[in-house]
Amino acid sequence: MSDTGHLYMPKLAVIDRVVEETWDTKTFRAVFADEPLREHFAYHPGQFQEVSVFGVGEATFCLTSSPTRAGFIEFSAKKVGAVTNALHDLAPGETVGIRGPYGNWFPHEEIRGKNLLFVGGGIGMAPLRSLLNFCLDRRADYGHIDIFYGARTPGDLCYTYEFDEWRQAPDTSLYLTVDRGDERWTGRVGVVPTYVREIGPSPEGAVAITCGPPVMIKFTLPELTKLGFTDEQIITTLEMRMKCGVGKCGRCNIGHTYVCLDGPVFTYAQLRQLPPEF
Amino acid sequence: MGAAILRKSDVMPWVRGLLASYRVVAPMVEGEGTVRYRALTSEASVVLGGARPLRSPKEHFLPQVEPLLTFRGTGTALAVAPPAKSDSATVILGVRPCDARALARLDDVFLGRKDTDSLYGARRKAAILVGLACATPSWGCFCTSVGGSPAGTEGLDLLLTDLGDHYHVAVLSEAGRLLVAQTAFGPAADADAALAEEQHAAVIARMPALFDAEAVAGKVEWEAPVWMRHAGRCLACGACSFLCPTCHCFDIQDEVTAEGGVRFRCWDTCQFGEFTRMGAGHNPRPTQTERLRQRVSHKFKYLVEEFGRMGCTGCGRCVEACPVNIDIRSVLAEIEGGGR
Repeated sequence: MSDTGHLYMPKLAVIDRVVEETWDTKTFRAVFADEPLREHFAYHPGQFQEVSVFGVGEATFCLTSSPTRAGFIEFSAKKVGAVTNALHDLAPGETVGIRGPYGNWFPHEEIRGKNLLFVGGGIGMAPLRSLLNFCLDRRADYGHIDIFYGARTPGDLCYTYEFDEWRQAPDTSLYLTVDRGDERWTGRVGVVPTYVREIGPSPEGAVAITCGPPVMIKFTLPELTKLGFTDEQIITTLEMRMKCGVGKCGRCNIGHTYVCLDGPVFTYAQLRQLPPEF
Repeated sequence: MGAAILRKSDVMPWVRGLLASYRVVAPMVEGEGTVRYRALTSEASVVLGGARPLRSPKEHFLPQVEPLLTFRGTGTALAVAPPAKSDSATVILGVRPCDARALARLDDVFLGRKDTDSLYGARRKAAILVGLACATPSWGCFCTSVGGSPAGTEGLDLLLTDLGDHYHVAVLSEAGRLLVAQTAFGPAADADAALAEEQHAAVIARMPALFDAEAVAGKVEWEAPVWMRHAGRCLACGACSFLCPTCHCFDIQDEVTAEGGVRFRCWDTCQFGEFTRMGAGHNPRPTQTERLRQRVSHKFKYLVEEFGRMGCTGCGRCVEACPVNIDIRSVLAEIEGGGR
């Protein structure tokens, strides 16, 4: 750390592309102003960062890009508060602040050779996409990949422009579903947990990685258990309100566990050890 | 590391001498008689002795509002600058033993938990703490119940004990030794040490332990009526946290100025509903019951699990400041007694 630096000093990055994912969610591609940092910003799938719009404030976002695709980072933001609304107003060329990467990550080394079951709901696909694209870029390192992804309506599905890439990847299946279809939707209608039950992926040599709204998680976990997944084979990532991201500001603790330091990635077995306060 | 005496008539000349090399912070009287630790401006308002000051010296290590950076410009012309340094060598006078002990708890968070907060660290490193043994504990005080003492020395460089016309000065560190190596100080006689010890013992005797704090950690329960029983009347004013010498939680906010803007951190508290409420509306701690459970469990269970010491030094400010008389001593006694 330089003499003038401190934990809360962000690095400047320029937004160079904005993708409208849904009616309330955008994905921002940011390029660090500092050239060496641009090429060597090291992170792992599942980590998060603090993004600031100067004059409005900072908010916490997971990295949705994969470190295998260097030169930029991406994060998705759903419009819910002051910072996310300000982000949505940004055009390419505007500058934001980035602090991070923070937190632990999906155990991409430990799960090498395993079959992967991704279960995502809505904007919960954001952290999963980072790991998914990471694994697809190192396809030989992983076994079969099943991707379950659902949203309330077809218009709430994010990353639709990557669906073909995911479908066409070797030994990879994409299962899409929506709670409510529309006139153009010809795919499945129904909730994610039921779809998982029907397809019934095997827990043999597999791990499940899930992220989505609480209601999806609540009904997905029992289905995975019924399929034979142990608590250790189920990995998820938690969302908590954060400010500092570095274990100082004191708001993301669950018991003595700090989500920003010890998480945000936990196995279901680890979550069961924590007080039920998330 | 030895001892000395300091005549009361020599205190201000000594302090004036300190001002040549140090910033001096001392308890000073403000409007309406409030005593707070302020950078020394007027000698007349310095108060050593009496009840503990309204606030601890925490704000000199973790300011209530602290700029983190300034920014100006937009687009690719946007520039960010760090704040001015605030690490000049500082002597803090009249630090109470409970407040000095509290700093070790702040150190755990800012210096011990993963990355170092250099803003806090620089001020911490630059500070010399001149303690004052408590001769008149206030009605909310309970330091002896949480492993402390009105004459405790943890974290202090010197400890002064008021012996009438002079102070007995226990030297506790090399930094302290350098401070007393000045003409204002005289040698301490055995009788001075004996008098100081006598006074300490007398004050301790007036403060019997109210509960076994060590036992509390093992008895804090998640679902227990004690939380609702006390939190039901909480107004969520946050006075307990803001006056607490170990509470360290903060918020980070931006403020726009004519030239650009400033990002600052400011004290925050787990007693506010906004504290954990997420953007989309979900709040893992929806009522004061969960928030009181967090505050008490954090200090007496989670920090013990994490660092091996509790996050309370028994200063009693939360007890005295609470507008609805939520008394953490009663909460702890009920937990310890199995009253849940």
